[in-house]
Amino acid sequence: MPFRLSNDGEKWFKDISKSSKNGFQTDFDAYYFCFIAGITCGQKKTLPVSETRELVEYFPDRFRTRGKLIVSLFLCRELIELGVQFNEKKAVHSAITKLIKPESPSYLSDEGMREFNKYANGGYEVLTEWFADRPRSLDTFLRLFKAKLDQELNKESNSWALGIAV
Amino acid sequence: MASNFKILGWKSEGLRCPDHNISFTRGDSSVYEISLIQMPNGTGKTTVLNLLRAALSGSAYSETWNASKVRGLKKRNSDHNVGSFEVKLSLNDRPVTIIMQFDFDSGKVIYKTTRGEGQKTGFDPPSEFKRFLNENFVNFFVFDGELAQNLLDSNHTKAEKIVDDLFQISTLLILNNKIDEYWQKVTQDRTAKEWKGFKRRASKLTNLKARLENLEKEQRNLNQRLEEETERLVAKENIYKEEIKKGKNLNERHIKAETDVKEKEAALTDQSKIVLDNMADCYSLSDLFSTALYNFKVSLDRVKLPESAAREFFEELAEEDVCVCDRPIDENIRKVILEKSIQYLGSDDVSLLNAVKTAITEALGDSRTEPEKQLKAMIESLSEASNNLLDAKNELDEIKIEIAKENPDAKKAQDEIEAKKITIRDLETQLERFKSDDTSLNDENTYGIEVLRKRVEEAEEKLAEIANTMILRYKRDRLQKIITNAYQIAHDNITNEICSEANDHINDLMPYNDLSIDRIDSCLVLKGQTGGSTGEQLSIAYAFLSTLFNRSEHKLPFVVDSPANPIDLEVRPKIGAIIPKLSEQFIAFTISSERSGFVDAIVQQSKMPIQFLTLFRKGRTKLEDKITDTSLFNETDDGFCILGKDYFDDFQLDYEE
Repeated sequence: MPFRLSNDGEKWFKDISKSSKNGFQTDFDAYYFCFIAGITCGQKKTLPVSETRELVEYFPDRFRTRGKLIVSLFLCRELIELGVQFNEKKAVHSAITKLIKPESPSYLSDEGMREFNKYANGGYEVLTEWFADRPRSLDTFLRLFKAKLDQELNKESNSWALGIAV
Repeated sequence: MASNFKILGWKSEGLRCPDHNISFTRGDSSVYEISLIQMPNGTGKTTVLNLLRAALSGSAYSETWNASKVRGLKKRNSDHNVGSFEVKLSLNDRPVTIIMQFDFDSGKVIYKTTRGEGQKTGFDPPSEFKRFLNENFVNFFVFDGELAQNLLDSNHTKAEKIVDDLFQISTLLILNNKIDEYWQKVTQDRTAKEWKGFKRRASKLTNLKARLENLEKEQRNLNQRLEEETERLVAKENIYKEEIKKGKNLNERHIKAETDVKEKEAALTDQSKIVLDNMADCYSLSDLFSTALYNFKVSLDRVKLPESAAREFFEELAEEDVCVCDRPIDENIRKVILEKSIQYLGSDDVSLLNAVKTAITEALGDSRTEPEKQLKAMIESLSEASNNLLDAKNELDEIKIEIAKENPDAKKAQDEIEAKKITIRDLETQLERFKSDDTSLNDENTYGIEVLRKRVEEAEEKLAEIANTMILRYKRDRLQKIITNAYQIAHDNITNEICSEANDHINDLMPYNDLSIDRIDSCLVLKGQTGGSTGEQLSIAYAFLSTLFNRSEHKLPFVVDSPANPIDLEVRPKIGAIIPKLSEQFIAFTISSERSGFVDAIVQQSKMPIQFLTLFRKGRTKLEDKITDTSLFNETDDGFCILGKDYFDDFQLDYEE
């Protein structure tokens, strides 16, 4: 099962996409920022397949060596969503067996990939709230993304701060 | 294909008529051409006839055969709650047996059909005989006086259908239905099947093509203009450069400022790439993320995930007879080991989880906050690079203003360059519309060339589909018209010929009665009148049926109840002469008073041996005493069936008391 980027998300990143001058290196860059925005706010959205585009089934290029860490962060988010402490062995075991598939090129089971994609879809909506307009240059986007991410994570209500205690 | 249909015999048990078992076969396994069964009124003739009709038509499954009707067929004063009626047939020389099993408790009848492939529950005659073995058709060859009346009553018979079925012209109507079925099947998924749908789709395609053509033309024009404006811009920029060169000092500063801008742009791009690459480390984005990852790893260690043993170890252990601790493993222990093994991760999961933990440790190093600090520093550098570029651009702009003040021609070129840039931006924006992949708008408001090209393709396919449908529809209509005409011509010719021949027979039978068939509709329509006496009706029916059966290539049996009783004595010999010619197997139920005139005529006309049977209920001592030849009779619990002409002729009983 592949990673899927929403059509709207793809359009939103058009000016800093891989086809633009001084933009992203791959389409997965855009997907990654959507996903991070999604897990930051815990926002998931299911989209019809027709409203998304298939990317790849693996972590490409710069993400190849970072796949395991991204999947770990995804697992942390899912456990927080479930209200599970990381030391609850049975629940952690259950989440791992449900969402992970070692032989998959993405390390994700089909169900895991579905949930992963939902964060990316939800994340696009988060980005449209964070940014008044779609990004026109990469440097501005990167700086503003980090600023908005910090702003979001510093909110008292953000569950990352609440849910990571050991 | 011609059909050859013979009744080999029937057997009745536990029903209202006396139990009996009649065979119409001769020693050489052929059947008697004529079988006369003498049964006094009240013995159950009507019952046998109705049972025969039901066995040959499957009609006991119809609504008219309700529980009370079924129970009404139970033998009087009998303790048995079951009964059966079995008919043996020869259909195209293949044996077929149809059994009706009566359950008087439930008031239900079950059919059993035995033929080539064995016995099946249900009424299941060979398909080629189904057109004869139905309620409407059976009434024409299992016949009685009442049905002769019905033949002249449009509410009861379907004479036309009999003609159609017997001469197989109904196949043409079936063919028409098949054409309709094929049409439905082929076009069921097609949304438009009418001319107006064709016109609508043709019009849509024309409009779409026109819009696409207009937009493509507009796009070509804009592209051409863009190319021209870009060339003009380059020319203006060259003029501007030439003008700058005229002021040596400013020229040098301008070149330096431009170089500076390019360097700062490159620096910003490089720094953006560094930050982008660093942000791909998700733990660098926030110390909350790195802390979460760290805690996740620590928690896994604490709860011993992954375990040191993998699920496969226990699955393999469960296959052993002895445990690693040397204790025997029985079935219960094996089951427990396998159940518990599910709690352990598979070896692949274990490897991955260990790899994840190693990756977290390696990524975070000693500090969970350091990665974000480093990212923040990089973003600071990025901001600095951005500001540096802004400064360099401002410097270049200031030099341009100075040049403009010093050199009016340079200013003019500069203004023109700015104007060209605006024009080019405007053209690019206009051209952008044609790249749109928005499919949500209607054709008139859609500008995406590719979207419209796809719609044209779809519209062409849809138009082609309906064009094919229309051609198919035309073929269907033509073929059905030809078939309907063929049917009508065949039907008219056949019914006219049958009418004419039947009228010859009627004239033969009753030369002074002035009766003739005008036409065959749903019933036989008589010329100038609606009916006649019972005898006349029967004579007309025989005349019609003899014509019908004689002209057909199908050989069907003909079973009649009291064939001559209502007919005048002077007509009886003529009927007697006709009846044996009706079919190759004629079975008649008679009573003793009917013999006069009629049976003698049959005997005289028939060149083949005739089978005589006399069936009556037990208890009539005088009649039983007359049975002399015991080899010629069958005795059941409540009846006698005597073979032979002598007993048949000697029998004098019209009504059972």
